[in-house]
Amino acid sequence: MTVFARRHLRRALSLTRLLADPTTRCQRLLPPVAALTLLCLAIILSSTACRSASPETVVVYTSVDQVISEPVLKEFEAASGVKVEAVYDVEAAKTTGLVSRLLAERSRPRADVFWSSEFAQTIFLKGQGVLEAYRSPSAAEIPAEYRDPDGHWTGFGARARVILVNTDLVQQDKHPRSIFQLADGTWGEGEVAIANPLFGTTATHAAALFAQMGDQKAAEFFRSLLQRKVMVVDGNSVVRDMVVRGEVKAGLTDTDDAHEAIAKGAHVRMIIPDQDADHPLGTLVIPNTAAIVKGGPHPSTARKLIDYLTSAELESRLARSGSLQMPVRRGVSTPAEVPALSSLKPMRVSLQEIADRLPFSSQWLRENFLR
Amino acid sequence: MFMAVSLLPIGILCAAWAAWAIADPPSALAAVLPSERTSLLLANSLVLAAMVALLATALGGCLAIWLEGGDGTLRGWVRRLYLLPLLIPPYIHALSWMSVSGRRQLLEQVAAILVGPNRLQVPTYGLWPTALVMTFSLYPVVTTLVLSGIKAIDPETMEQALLLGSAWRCATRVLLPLLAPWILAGAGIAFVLTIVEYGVPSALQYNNQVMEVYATFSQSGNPLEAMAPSVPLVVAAIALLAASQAALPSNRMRGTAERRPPIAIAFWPKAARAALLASVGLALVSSVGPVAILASRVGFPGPPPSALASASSDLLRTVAIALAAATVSTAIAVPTAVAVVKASRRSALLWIVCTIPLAIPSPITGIAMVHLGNHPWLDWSQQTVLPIVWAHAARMLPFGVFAASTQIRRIDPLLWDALHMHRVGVLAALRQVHLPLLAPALWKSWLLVFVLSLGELGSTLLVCPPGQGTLPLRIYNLMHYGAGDAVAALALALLGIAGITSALTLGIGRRVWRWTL
Repeated sequence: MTVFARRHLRRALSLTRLLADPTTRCQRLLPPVAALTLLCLAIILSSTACRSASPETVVVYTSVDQVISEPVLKEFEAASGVKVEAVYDVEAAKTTGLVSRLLAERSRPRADVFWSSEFAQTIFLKGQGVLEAYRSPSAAEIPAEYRDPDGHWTGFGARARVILVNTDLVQQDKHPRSIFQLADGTWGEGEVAIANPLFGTTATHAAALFAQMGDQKAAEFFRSLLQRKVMVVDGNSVVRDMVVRGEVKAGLTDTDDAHEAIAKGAHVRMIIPDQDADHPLGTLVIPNTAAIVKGGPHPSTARKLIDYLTSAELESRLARSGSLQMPVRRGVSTPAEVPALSSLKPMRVSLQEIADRLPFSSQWLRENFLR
Repeated sequence: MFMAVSLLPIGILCAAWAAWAIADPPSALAAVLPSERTSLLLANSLVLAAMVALLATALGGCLAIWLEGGDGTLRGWVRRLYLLPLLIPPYIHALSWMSVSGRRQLLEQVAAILVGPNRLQVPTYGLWPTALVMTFSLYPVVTTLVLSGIKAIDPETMEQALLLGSAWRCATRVLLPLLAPWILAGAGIAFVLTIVEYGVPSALQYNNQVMEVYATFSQSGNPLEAMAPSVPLVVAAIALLAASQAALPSNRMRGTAERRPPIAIAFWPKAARAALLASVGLALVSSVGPVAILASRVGFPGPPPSALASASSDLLRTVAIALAAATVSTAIAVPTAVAVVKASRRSALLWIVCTIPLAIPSPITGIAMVHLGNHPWLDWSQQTVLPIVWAHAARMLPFGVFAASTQIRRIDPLLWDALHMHRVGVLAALRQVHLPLLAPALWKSWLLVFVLSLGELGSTLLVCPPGQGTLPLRIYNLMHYGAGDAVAALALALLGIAGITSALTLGIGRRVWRWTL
C-alpha cells in the first residue's frame, strides 16, 4: 500500500470515529455557542425595544464635562422620574462636535435639549434655525444679558478665562497680569500653552478678541503667540495638566480647570487677566447655555429639563461643585472661594457680537494658526 | 458577507464622494489634494508610523527569536505574558505613560539615580513618547508573526547551515532571510495600525492626519469633507499593507511541528545576546507595567473606587457590544478564512482584500457609519447599539480572519478529502465534521475580536447614540478631565474583563484542543 493511501486510510478511519461518535467534546460546546449567538441578537433588539417602551425620556447633548454634567442629570432623573439619555462630547472637539451633530440631524432631530458649556455655538445654532423658543419660569431672575431676547436660549453658571501659572517655575513678580504678556518676549519657546482655538471656550475667547480688539490687533496677538511657539493642545484640562506638571510655565484656561488644580494642592496660581487700569481689556465671562432643539422627539420633558437647568438651586449646586461656577443671578448662595460675577471686569462686547465674529475668527485661525 | 460588513459603509461614502466629484470636480479634487497643513500632518503620520514599525519590528523580532531559542521557566512565563499588551487598549498604555513620565515623575527619578540629576528629561508628550507607547502596544503582533515564521522553517535547513558556519553567520545569512517575509508583514501591520490610531496621538499631543479627520468632521459635520484629505493616507496604507503581506501566502516553508529549528543563541556575539535580553526586559515591562501602574493609582487591593459603581451600566453595555461584535465577526471571519486558505491562485489577493479594513482610520469608519445612518431606512437603528456593533465588526474582521486562518492552516487538508469520500449529508457534515474541526478557529477568532472590541474608541466616539455610552468613551473623557484615580479604576476593570475572558477561553482551548500559543 502506498504512503499516500496509508495516510488517507488513517485519516478516513479517524473521520469515521468522529462521525460515529455523537458525543465529542466539541459538540458539547455547540449549545453554548448557539446560546451566545441568540444572546447577541437579543442585545441588539432589546436596545430598540427598551427605547420605544420608555414613556418619559429626554435626550440631551451636552458639552459640559461629564464629571460635572452627569451627576446633575442623574439628580434630575431621580427627582423627576424622566429618563435622561445623554451624549457627552470629548475634549478634542467639545461643543463644536455636538453642534455639527445637531446640524446634521436638523431634518430628523434626535436630541431634545442642548446644554452647552459656552454660548457662541448656541447663538450660531439659533441662527441656523435649530433651536426652539421657550422662556422658562425658572429663569425669570436671570439678567437679560445672559438670556436670548427671543427666548431661544438661557445662560447660567458662568466661568471666566484665566491664566494659570506654575508658581515653582515663575517668580511672583513675573506673573502675567494680561493675556498679551503671554505673547511678549518674557517667555521662551514652548513655555506657554493654550487649547486648540478652533474648539470650545478657547474658540469663543478668540472670537471675543476679534470682536473687541478688531481683526488686525487680534491677528497680531495670535501671530505673536505663534512666534513664541506656543503649545497648542487638545483642551483646557490639558493646559492645566501641563502647567501643573511644569511642562509649561503658564497657560490660558478656564476657572473650573484652574480650581480643579488648586483644590488638589498643585503649585499653581490662577490669575484673572486684564483687570487693572494698565490692562483694561477685561476677561471673557462664559455662561453655560441651555436650549430646546426644534422638533425634538420629547418636547414636554425637554421643558422640564430646561426648568431644572435654569433654576437657582442648580446654580447654587454648580457653584458648590468642583467647577465652582459663578451664578449669573444675584442672591444665590455660594462658597467663599467662588468670586461674585460683579467683582470681575468682563470684556466690553456682547455675547451676540462674539457669536457673530466666531465664523471669521475660526476661519482665520484655521488658515493661519498652524499647530 | 465580509465585504458587506467591513467595506460597505466605506464603499457608500466613496460612492458619495464620486457623486460629488461628478457634480463638482474642482472642489472634490481640491478636497483630496493635500494642502500645506494636511501635508504637514500627513508627514507627521508617516514619520510616527515609520518609527513605530522599526522599533516594534526590532523589539518583536528579537523577542520571538529569543523565545524559540530554548526552553526554561523564564521563557515559559514570557510566552504567557507577551500577548498581554494586545489586551490593553493603546490609550491605556498612554495613560500609564502619562502617570510615570514628565518632570519629577517616576521615570525621571529613576533616570536621576542612574545618570545623575537633571541629566535626562523624560517628556510626556510629543513624537518620541507617542512612538514608544505605540511600540509597546504593537510589538506582540510582530512577535506572533515572527514566531509563526520560525515554526515554518524546516529544522534540517538550520541544522545544515550550522554545520557549515558559525551560529551568528547562520542567523544573519539563513535565519533572517527565511524570516524576512514574516518580519516585513509584521512591520507592515505595525506601520498601518499606527497610521490609523487615534487615541494615543490624541492623548500624547502628537498631531497627525487621523486627529485632523476627527477635528474636521466635528467642525464641518460634512462626512465627505472630513474623509477626503485622508484619501492619500489610506491609499498609502493599503499599498504598504499589500506589499508587506504579499510574500506571506506564497511562503512554502513547512516545518515539522515536533522539532524546533536550532538557533544556537548561546553562540551569538555578546552584543546580539544583550539585545535579545533587552527585548525580554522591555516586553516584561510593557506587559506588566501598565497593570501595575494602574493598580497602584487605584490603591489595589483596597476597596474599589466609587467610579466603578457610576459606570456600571457603561461597563455592562461595553461587554454586551463586544459579545455581539465578536459573535458577528466570527460568523463571517471563519468562512472567509476558510476561503482564503483554500484558494490556491487568488489567496494573495483575497488576503489583501481581507486586510484593507486595517488601513482605514477608525474615525473614518465612524464617519461612514454616520453617513449610512442618515439614510431614512436606517433611522430606526440609530437609537440602538447596532451602529456601534457594526462599526466594531467592520474594524475587527481582519483580526478575526487572521486568527482563524492561522488555526485553519493547521487542519490536515486530507480530512476534507476524506469527508467528500464518505458522502456525508450537509447538516451531518456541518455538525459532526466542519464545526468540530473549525471550533478552535471559531474560539480564537471570537476571543481576539472580543478583546479588541472592548477597548475600541475611535469609531465609537462618532456612532455612539444618546444614553448608550461605553466604558472606553468614559475613560477617554475622564482622562482629559484629569480624574486620574477614576480613570485608573475603570481602565483596570476593562483589563480585568479582557483578562478573565482570555484566561477562560484559553483554558477551555487547552483542555479541549490542547492549544499552544
